[in-house]
Amino acid sequence: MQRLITILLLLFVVSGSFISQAFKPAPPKEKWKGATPITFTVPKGWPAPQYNFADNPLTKEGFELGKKLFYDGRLSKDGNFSCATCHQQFAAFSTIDHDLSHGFNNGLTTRNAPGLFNLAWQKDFMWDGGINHLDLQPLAPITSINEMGESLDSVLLKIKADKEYKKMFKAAFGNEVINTQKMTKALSQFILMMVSSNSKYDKVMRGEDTFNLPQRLGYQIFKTKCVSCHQEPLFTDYSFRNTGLPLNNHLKDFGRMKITGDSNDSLKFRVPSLRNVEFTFPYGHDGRFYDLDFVMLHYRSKVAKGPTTDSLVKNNIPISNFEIGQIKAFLYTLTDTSFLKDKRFATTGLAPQQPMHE
Amino acid sequence: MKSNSINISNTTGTAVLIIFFLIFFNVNGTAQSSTGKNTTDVRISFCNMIDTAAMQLRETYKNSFGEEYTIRTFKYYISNISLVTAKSKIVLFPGVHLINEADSTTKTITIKAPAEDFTGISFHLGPDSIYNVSGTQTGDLDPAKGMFWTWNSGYIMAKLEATSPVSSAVNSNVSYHIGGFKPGVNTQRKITLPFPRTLRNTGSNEIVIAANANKWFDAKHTLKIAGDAVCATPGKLAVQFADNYAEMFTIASVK
Repeated sequence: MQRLITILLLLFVVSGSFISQAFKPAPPKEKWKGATPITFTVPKGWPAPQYNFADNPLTKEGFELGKKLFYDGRLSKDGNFSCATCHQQFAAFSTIDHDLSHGFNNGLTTRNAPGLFNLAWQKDFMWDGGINHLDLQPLAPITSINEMGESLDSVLLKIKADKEYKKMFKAAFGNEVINTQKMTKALSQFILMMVSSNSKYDKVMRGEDTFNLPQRLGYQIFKTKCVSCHQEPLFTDYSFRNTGLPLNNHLKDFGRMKITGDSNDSLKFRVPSLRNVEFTFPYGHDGRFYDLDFVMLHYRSKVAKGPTTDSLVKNNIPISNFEIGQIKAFLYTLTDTSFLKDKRFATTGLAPQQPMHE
Repeated sequence: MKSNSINISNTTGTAVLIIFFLIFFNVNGTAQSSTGKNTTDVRISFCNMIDTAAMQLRETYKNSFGEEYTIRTFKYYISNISLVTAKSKIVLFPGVHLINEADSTTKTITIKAPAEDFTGISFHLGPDSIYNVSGTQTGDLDPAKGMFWTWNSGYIMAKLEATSPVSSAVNSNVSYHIGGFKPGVNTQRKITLPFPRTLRNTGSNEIVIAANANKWFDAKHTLKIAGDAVCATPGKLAVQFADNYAEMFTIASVK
């Protein structure tokens, strides 16, 4: 009897936990079958993507809508700044030759625009990891006063007033409802397809090509001195580390600490991927390193030792001039020309859309 | 939500059954579907107040420390509304609602409740944490509503904006954007309010809930404008505001 009561008591505790369980957001009810599915291919040997494709099935129509949005200046307040303004395809979707990027009203960003590729494998975004979902990422640059400077309400008003968009939203999602969610899902569909996995390095790994001598030597050095953080095949472990860059006195940017509020995260920034590194210069979260030589010199002798400096670099990394040359020869094999020139991601070549008159 | 149903074999003693049901229904309560038959509309109206006065945006008020402030924005999310029946059952109503003082249409939530007697209500201030980590949401949770931090993903649970002569911030601003959902900095709060009398749901009923903004400053914690005029990140101060706003609600009337 006693035991039975105990069991029943346990039962009601369990059922109680169901009662207090939070409601989960309704799964997307997009049973729209009118769009043409796109298959997302995971390159051989790569890990499973982080992005949940079941919540946002890729379609040709969604991709095309995302591409139009990506290249549309009307997502900014004055019509001048599209996503592509700072994310240029020929620079692997970073801003070529800019430490910081230009934005609305002569604004300047506070961080270096990273290249955009292989984002399906990334679980949080920005140099400080503050954004926890790819779909949410575009909201930050759109609404930042120094970037695109626009309110989401205004963006939606402009899009809703455009007949072409109405057609494209309907084709992608089955109805003409236009909201932030659909806009950002379409942008994600376009961005998720940006997979860079066809560099010389990849071809060598697939047995389709061979490294020359400096590249091979460079790869060996890379595997002893760099790979702990820049892990293959994505060339980042996505962690946040203080690599000994002293605080930038103009920007006063403490990185990850701003998100976690934890002083142990002071001056930590995301380990960037080295894929297409030939075209993503300048380097560092604030673009302070103009070229790869400056980066190497930093690790060789200029690492600032502070309480949060990463143990892997705090005593500097011994690299000879000779080794720098070999490492660079290897890093240039990470350039994926077919990605940089992939017509699927290119603007249609028309002049940027004119701003809407309100 | 499915109704809980429990089968107990014949070998179980009647006494145990009685004890079990006493425990189950009277102590713990059970969730019940809110979409069954015999439901009627119940209106839940939120009446924002400054102590005993109905809030008027752009009016100047005083908090309990005598600090003047001219309020211009007052918004908060209400979620997980549930009614407690006279038999201690809990009836849950899914959905997240943004109450915005500037938009009277947002201040009344209509739910379809079963025709029973109710003795109280509970709800959460703020959406559940799952919404903070599941991409872009729609409806009242659309980030276009201005209640979402784009740079550090997460909802602002409640927002109070004002100006005050004792504020040390630019333009004498008072800006409390209270959010944070991670363990240790969670600002979602559950509020439970018993009714002053049993509500017999026979249709056209209304529950009026008063929300006294002055509690933000003076409840569990003493938070003076002169001390902190701005709170815009998750953290200790936001948690203190959350403790305080959890105390701002009272039942004004049940009719």
